[in-house]
Amino acid sequence: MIRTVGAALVAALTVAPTLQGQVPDSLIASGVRAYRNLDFDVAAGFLTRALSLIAARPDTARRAEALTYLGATEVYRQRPDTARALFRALVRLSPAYRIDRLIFPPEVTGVFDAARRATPAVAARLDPEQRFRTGAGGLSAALFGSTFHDVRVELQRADASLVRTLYAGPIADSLPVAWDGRSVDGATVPSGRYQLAIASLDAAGTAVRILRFPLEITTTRQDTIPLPAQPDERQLLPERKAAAGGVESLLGGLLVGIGVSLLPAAVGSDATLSGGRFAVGGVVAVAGVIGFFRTRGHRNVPENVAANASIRAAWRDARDAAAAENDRRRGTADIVVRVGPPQAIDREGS
Amino acid sequence: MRPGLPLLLLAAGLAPPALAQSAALRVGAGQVRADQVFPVADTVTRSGLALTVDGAFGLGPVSLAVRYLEGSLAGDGAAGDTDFAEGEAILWVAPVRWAALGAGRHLRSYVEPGGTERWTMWEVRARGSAQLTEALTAYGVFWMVVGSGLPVSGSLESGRGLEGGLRVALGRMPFSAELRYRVDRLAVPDAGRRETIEQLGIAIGVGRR
Repeated sequence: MIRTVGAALVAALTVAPTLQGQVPDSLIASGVRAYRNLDFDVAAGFLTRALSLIAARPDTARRAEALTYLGATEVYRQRPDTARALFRALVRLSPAYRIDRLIFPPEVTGVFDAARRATPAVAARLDPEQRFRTGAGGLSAALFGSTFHDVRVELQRADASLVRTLYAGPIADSLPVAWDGRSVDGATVPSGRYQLAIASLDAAGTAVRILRFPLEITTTRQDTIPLPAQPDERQLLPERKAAAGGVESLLGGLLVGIGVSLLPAAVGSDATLSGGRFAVGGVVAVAGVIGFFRTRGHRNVPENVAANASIRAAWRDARDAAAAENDRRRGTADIVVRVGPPQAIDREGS
Repeated sequence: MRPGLPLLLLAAGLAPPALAQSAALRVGAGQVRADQVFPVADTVTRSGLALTVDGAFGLGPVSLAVRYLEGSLAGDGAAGDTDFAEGEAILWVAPVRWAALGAGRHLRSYVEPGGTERWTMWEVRARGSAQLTEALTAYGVFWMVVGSGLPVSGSLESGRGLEGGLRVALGRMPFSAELRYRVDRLAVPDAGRRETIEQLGIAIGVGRR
């Protein structure tokens, strides 16, 4: 006896949830059968009850089926306003839904089409998790419109403030939308909670329906590399040295100047030489005097100046390369977007 | 006498030896004056303008300098005009920045209606320079002929020359200007020939030392 009661309890606990799911399905099936038998009042009863039971279920297909048959039933029950309201609810539930014209006659599809045209709405399909690197991909979404109308797709912060408008314009049947991970000013968005808001607009540009997908965005930036340190004095060679009052310049200039002026007479002793040598020699000697005054006390060491210039140039090149690499790294980030369940908000009366 | 004022291309240029990886190219112009003594005539003096181009390429302490000059010399009195050309290629080695030793070949041609007279000299050279300021460098070159191919009979008694000048670097740009004076003397007493070539010119160039 006890064993029998226990078995019944176990069976009841196991089967009950299944029955709970099956009841609306059987109600819908009964409603569809009654509709096909032209018993519209009975069909309306089954389908209304089924819809009340599955209102909270995420099973869009079953609800759409129930709404479709209930709307068609109401058409034949001569309740066009109710039928239109049911079809508008169907459009909002599934904007891409189209009723089967092979099953339903024109008087039903006509009411549905009118309701669809009067109900701008958008459905969107996003993968629940998307990963991309800025500059090499992005978040992608596919939008499906109930009818031709304008939409505005925005990435918003959790408080609904705008991050970036991704699209603003018309949609017909479908529309791909992408986001590259950047805000309106081109910066990579920081990690945080955001939302993708898709607003369906009426002819006046007023949002009549907003579909929101909560997004959890995780942004991982690449580390920057340190800039190379500027070469300090210990790494550089002395570029100037004491020059004993520029004596080297003076002696060098005078020596070459005198040599150019006088030595040609020794080379071409039996020739008549021009005075050009004196002009050149004089210029060189004067340049030596100029050098004497210009380099008194110090003079550059060209080898060291050149070596230091190479060191500084190498440092500048390394610094510029590191800065460019850091710019690249700052401009790129690995982004993970986790997409939550959507929420649709319809304007009252729409 | 040839028509027109003879145009001569003078090359005052002795391409300076490069002490590091370097390359330079210069063009110049100037006055050439040739004093020539012939066995059956007195001294003949010819002069005119000439243009020159010279360049150098260096790697480390070694550099190769080449120079070419061409022009026309107009004779005074009974002396006729002649076309004049010179070319040289000198290999330099600079053990220190301010001094270098070089050796190379030096060719000279006189082109006259009766034929072309060619002189070929092997020379050794010594060069010194002094940096006067960051932009000014004075230099001097002395050379001797150590071997020759003569267009006249006899042997070369002496052959030597020198050049001096001032190079001005034009700012931070790789351009420079030069003022040059050069004299070159050859003597072949057996043939009664002596000649002294003077060149005074300026040049501008581009290059990096």
